[in-house]
Amino acid sequence: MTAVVLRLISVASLMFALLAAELAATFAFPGWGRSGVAVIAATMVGVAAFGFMDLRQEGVVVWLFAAAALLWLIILLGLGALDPMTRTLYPTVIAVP
Amino acid sequence: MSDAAAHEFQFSSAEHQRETAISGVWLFLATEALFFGPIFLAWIYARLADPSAFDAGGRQTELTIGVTNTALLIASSFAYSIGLACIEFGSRRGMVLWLLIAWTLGAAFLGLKFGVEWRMDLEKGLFPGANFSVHGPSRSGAQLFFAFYFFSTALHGLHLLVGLALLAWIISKARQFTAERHNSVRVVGLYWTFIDIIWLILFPLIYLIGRAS
Repeated sequence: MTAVVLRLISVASLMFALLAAELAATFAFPGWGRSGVAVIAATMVGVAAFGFMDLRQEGVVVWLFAAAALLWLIILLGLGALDPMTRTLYPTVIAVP
Repeated sequence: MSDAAAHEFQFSSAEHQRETAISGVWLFLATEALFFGPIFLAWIYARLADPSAFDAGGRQTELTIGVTNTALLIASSFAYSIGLACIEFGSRRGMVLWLLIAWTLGAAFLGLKFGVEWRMDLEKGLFPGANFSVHGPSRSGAQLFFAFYFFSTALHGLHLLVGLALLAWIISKARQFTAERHNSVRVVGLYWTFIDIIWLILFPLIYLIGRAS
């Protein structure tokens, strides 16, 4: 029991440290900016999945479902964002009568 | 308790029942991830249409409440995990205590979000529409941001409300759970942490990206 509690305390501490890092990336390190925040947020999601949801200890089927969710999200967001990220906007000229 | 008593008749063993329950919930969570996916895509679309105006909307949010709420959900997932560990080691009283803490932290999140933050946002005239308080060139982009903000936080809040009901159900049925038989506690815990994960994505999209320029 003690080992489990210690592990969970370290997971929670890591999550709070990452939250602090997220705020630091936003305000103290403008160079990191948005990409820094995105990387830290993705790390927090991973820590929660492995630390609190015990994904590491689960079997093949669970891993398959988790990987499928990730793959579907990548396809949805990747293909969905392709259009607005590659579109060139030209200024509209409005003819004055 | 014998192994036969620890699982339902259709499963060959308690471990088989546990694996089935856990994988079923993970499949459900995969569909939930896809449910939230288009909302994240809407954020990308709306922001790329006019990044500076969208970010101007993001800077109107209450960062202190956002950070506090994130800390509350992290602490809540931690409390639930401790509660799960308690029942795994046979302590039903410990489980109830930690689940009550997790429930209280979740309820505090809802109270802060909808009782305080939403009220402040509405009083500041940040609900999209004719009376939207942001004027000038950022107006339409900021309105798009707040459309995303109100919709996504309402949807997340609804999920959290369901989570609170499930937690209350687990607590009310605490007498049924033993160290050998507690699949429901584990299953609800997965959903509870998933709600936390959704917030961990929404938090930077709402509060940080607009300020990280």
